[in-house]
Amino acid sequence: MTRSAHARELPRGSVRRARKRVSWVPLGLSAGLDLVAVAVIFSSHRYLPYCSAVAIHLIAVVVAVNFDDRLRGSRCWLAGALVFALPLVGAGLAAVALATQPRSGLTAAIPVDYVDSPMLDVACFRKIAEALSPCEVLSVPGSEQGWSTLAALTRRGDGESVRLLRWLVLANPNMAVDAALALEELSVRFDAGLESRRRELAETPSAESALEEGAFIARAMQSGLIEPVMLKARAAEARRCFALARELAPAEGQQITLEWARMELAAMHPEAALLVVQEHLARFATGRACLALVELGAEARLASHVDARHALGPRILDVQATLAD
Amino acid sequence: MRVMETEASDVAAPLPDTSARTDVCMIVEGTYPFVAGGVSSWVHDIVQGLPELTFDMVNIGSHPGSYGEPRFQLGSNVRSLSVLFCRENDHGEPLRGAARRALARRIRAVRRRPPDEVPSRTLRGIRRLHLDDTVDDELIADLGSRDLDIASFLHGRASFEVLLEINERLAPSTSFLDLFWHFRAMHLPVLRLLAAPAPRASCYHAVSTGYAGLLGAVWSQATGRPFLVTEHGIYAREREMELARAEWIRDDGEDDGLAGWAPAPSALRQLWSRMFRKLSRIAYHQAARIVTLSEANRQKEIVDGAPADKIKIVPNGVRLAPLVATVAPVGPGPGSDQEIALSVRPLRVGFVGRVVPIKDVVTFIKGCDLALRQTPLDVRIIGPDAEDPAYATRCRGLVETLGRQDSVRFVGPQPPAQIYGDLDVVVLTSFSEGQPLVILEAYAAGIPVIATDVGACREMIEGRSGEDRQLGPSGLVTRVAVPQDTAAALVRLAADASLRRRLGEAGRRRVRAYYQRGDMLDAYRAIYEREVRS
Repeated sequence: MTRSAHARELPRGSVRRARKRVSWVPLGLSAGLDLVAVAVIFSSHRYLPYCSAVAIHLIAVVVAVNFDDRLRGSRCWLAGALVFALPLVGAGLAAVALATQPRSGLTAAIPVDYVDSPMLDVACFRKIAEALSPCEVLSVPGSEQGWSTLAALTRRGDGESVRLLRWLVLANPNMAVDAALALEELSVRFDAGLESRRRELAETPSAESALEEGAFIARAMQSGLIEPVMLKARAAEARRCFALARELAPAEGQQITLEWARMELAAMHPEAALLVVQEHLARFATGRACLALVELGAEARLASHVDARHALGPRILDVQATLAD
Repeated sequence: MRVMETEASDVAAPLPDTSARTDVCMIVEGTYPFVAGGVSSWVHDIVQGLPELTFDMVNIGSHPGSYGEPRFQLGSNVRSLSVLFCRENDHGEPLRGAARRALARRIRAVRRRPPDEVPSRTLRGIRRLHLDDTVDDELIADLGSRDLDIASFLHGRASFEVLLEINERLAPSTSFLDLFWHFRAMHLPVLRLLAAPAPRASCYHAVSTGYAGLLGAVWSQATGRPFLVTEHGIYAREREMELARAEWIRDDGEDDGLAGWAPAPSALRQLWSRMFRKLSRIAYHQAARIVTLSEANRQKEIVDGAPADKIKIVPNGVRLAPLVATVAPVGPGPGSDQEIALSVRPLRVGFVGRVVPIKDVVTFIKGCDLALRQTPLDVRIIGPDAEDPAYATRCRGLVETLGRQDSVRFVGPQPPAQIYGDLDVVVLTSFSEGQPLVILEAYAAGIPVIATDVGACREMIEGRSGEDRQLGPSGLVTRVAVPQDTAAALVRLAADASLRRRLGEAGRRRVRAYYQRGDMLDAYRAIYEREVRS
């Protein structure tokens, strides 16, 4: 679907007519030159005036076309053609024609976010009608579409893909090996990414690189890529990174706390997540806590079954011991 | 014995002289004698175990320089070793000056050449690989006609027309530029290999389908000599698995914003996988006998188009004597010194094999870590780790991350007799296997096995036929890439000495009954004799 077709579906009032800008000066100058040419024709000399008039008319065309920066492409050709073909009135007609608003120009006024939203064409609708979900495709052993789906899941590598691949490994003997290989590939990719972040942190220790490494591990935990057997070791590494980031840039505390708490929740340590959030709130009591942090705190409280009135209270030492471990 | 490294090209490659006929021309793809592993060991066993036969070895490699030194000492009955390569090495810098102009002149000459009155049969065969579903003698003869040189394929009008037809019929919505390069990449190896003349042999034996199977089929038909195929894994399926993960093929619909739907299969991926399946069918069609390792493989081959009556199952075999001689009588008996010892020392667990991704050593380590939380183990990873240093580093890093350096040790390669005398359980966590010799060696030593459900592992552990099953299980089967399964099996075996003893005993009986090296050699001797004399 083209932008103009899409625009036709918009409600009338939602489109603000865009004003086309045309510079009147060169076109007026051009019309004036044409008048001079006419005057020359009616002057006394027999042959010279015609040649001069033609030359002046051509200059008028050049003036009309070249002296306006806004004339580009077809607008330039239109102005040139009208001035060239119709002496005296051509420049005026060009001005009128260029100032007219074509329908395709309406899209200029459409809000950007509206235009960039997904546009479904016939092929898309047909695909939705005919296509299968990855689960359905992967249930059929050895299908070519199954291979493609597996490849797409591997490339995507997000939480949904990882969950689907794990389901295949555990429950679908026909695709278990392929899914296991795909997960292995994702793990290798994660290890390589982690290694490069470790190197970066070692070479240039900064809050950004520490936060980046910690958040990278947190994202892998949230997607389920890090298996339970590895959770403890990876969580410990992420904690070290977050602690370093907080030490190096205390002002960035909120972002660090958010990532840290998310990691603790993914590592199945909601009490630690709650502790991290509460510590932050205690340290920055005067500042405004962001909504995400408050929500995260509530989620952690719910998951850890800690009473909101008492918060962690006496259990704080246990949680601190967990973190130290 | 002569070793020839040949860069197969449009010029016919020099293969063994044709003065004397060898008994068997064995064609392998990327393995013996340059790469260590199960298939290479199997080839070595066959060649060594049948000294009365002479062999020409033809190895199909990727590109010149891709092999190091041979890993196996060739026997005196191997008359020659030839290496054919699928592709040339990159020349690095692009051609310049006079050389570039000369190449341009050659290409123009090929393009201006008037179309042949008789179209190329090879090209007709290539067209049929994609556009015709049947496999017959004519297709094999066409492919083996050697009437299409590389230059004509790359720049000729006729091959471009085949490409156009494939584009129109099989990949109308694929980028033509992508298809153009894939078409070249797909067929250049085939053309280079087919340019090699057939060595004189009484029979041709390909140790896989694919390129080796194609070459064997074509040579067999050209010379009228019989052709055998042995498949350890199922070649076409292995290639499909690789293609599924290949990042150099883009799937249609990948970026269309409808992420919740399964993408349509890419026409290019389909072209590749269909070609490999067709190559397998060509080998199956021409083969007088298809030999496979297990019933599971046999079923897959039948589904892929192999005639059931051609298929014979010949399992791998091991030499029992050296293993049995160095290992104590099977498992500790109740109340024996060994059993008492086991109650005070950790269970000795061994992973025996190359430290490479396909063996999934990572899952083994994770499984051991989980098991170690419940029971003490002495874990050894026994095998070479030089083949994939990055993976070996990853495995060592994992052991370190998990803090298991004291319990999990990398001990490098060891002779079989030394390995099994010092283990209580052997674990195999591979993603893919044919019929692993490690399991048979462990059986010979009376050691129970924990193995993933791949290849022939399940029937090796639980039995293939009724009689075999009556021997009882000789190990535990686990799911692929599930460390929890491996851990549970280890904990179970660590806790139950009598179970270990029963499983070990059943394994020893099973290997004696069905998996002796002598039986395997006898089976191949019979097959070769029938085909060589035919």
